[in-house]
Amino acid sequence: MEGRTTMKAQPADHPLNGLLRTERIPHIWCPGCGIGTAFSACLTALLNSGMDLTKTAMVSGIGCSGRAAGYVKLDSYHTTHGRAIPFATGMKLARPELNVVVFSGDGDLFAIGGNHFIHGARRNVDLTVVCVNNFNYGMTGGQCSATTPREAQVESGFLNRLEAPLDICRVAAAAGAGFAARVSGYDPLLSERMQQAIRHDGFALVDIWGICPGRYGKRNPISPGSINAALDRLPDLTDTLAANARDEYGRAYREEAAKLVAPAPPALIEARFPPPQGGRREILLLGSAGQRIITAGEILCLAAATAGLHATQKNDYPITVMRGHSVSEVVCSDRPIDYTGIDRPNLVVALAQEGVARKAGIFRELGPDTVILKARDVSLPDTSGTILELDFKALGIRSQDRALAALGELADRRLVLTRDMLGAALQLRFSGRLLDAALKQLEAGGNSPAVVG
Amino acid sequence: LGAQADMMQARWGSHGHYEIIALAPASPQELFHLTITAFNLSETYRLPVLVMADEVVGHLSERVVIPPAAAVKTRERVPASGRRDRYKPFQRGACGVAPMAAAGAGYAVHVSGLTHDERGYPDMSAAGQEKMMTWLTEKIRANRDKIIQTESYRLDDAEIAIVSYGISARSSLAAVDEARAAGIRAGLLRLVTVWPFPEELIRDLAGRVRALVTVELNLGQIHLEVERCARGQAPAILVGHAGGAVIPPEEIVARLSAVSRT
Repeated sequence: MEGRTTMKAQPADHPLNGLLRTERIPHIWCPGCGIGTAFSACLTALLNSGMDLTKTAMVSGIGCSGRAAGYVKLDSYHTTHGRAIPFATGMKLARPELNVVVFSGDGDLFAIGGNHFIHGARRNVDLTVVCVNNFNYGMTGGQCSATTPREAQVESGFLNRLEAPLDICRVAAAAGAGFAARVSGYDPLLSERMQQAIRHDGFALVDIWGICPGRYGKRNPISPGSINAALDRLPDLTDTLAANARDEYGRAYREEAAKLVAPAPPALIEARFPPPQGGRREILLLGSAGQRIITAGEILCLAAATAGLHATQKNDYPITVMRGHSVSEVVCSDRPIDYTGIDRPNLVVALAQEGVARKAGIFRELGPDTVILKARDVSLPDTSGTILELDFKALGIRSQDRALAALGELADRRLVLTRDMLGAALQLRFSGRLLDAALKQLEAGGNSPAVVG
Repeated sequence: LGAQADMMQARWGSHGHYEIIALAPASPQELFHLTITAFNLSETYRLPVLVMADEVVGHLSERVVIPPAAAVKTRERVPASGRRDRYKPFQRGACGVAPMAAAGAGYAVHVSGLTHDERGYPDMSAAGQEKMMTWLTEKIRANRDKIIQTESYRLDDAEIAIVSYGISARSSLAAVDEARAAGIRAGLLRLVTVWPFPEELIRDLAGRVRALVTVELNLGQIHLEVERCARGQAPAILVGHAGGAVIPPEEIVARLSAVSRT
């Protein structure tokens, strides 16, 4: 009756002693606690599994059951509350050769760690999760947990009567686990069930219904018979679990990762062209979603790099990308750039009303030194900046092509960049059909001078 | 919104008394290098290291030179060695750091968040707590000269010292030049390492300057550390706001100018 072995008063030659930190015995568990039975059944299962136990780790969370990691003579980790599964997931992914067993309680695994449990089952990492389910938080005084029956009397008053207890095996099955077994802590085949879970290649749960004599059991009569009767009332999950069979996550991950092609090393941009101006230039690109404002900012920075300039780009847009303003702030300088902000830009490109509205406050500050290249259909707040106007509609330039056309106009006027710099930047930024299209658009736009407003 | 308002959260965000290492990159290039540094420090001192990229540094596009992998120096933790039955996972070695056994190496380590002894076993006593907290703090305190990185800019003859970090240090850099051009002898101490805090450096600086001006995107966090370390030798002044925009150099220069007139 290996499942019945308790840890109290063990003889020196107990067959499980090799797996115990005997110097830590006596343990803290109460006499009659179901954890001892589950723990010794787990150790027996590990011993009988034939696995290399130096390559086997136990991970626990917090709570009475969480202390198991402290007594087992394996690599053992007593982690933060609710986080045993993510810890174990990381360990298994980093060291796939390890066998990783999570041993913890219902409060830790399913209340505080419930989210991690669901995603562990969903991912199907090869973990064996052993849960001692004793229907309450024993260590903190017997409060209700996620599995407390509604009719139970616990130390947190009426709260458990208001909440439906989780059938954690059904949760596991719904979340995608391929193995989930409900088993009574009194079941003589407890250790065999754990061995099956250990052998399962993927996420496996053993939900052990046991007694907490110090807390829950005091006010809630519980017996092997009542546990069996309760277990019998729960729906069978065989078909759902079988339908969840699939690749183990870590192996599938490594296979997919092996297929990836390493990205090309970052481009080394050589200084090939003289910049049209020296010193620091601040450029503000104002547009709306879909106008490729941020791409234009990137092209501007790349163009600056082809002239040996330093450049910074900082963008501003709503969290979503298909509505609202799109603003790019670009600084180019022949010296390293310290301050990256733009307070009085040398150049403003205003292509849509949304972007202008976002930076409305800045126009008042501008003097005639600032060139504002604006679309004819955009209106500006009062400003003393020098305005150039482009009638994109009359030129047949689509909204999404305005930004690139504006860069072409700036290049023609040798403001911040030149045609050479722009062409080289497009070569760096685009390739294939996109590059052809960009170059073609630039050629077409070359004969469309802006009007001084 | 861009801010630097988590400086104390980084320092004291967990429970208990401990030391932490936090680095504050001021550019995408430094973000690259300091991330490597952070891993190296973490491996050396066996503790988490925070790379505190503020929103602006995190979202800024700028030239980054990525060196060939062979040119990147990495450090790895000291692994456990010797007899397996004698290994104690928290027995302090060189630099006050314990060699670390990997899972599966055959050492049957136990790691716990409870207050523990050299074996990793719980020791829930005042003496055990004192011992463990001393370990956690001393391994950093004793090595802070090796850990702390700062940069000085025009500080040698400065009458007013700016203390800043991250993106705010770049505004401060511009402010130093602008202030110098206006005849104000300003300099900058840029904190690359924010935690552990360069206490001695600030204390020495406070004895040499007329004022310490901390520039940061919050309502006064590192500023209070500067004030503490200055020990009254020089007034500590904050240039900061709650975040959302980088601090313009003019704002810093205006404050430097006001300080220089007093």
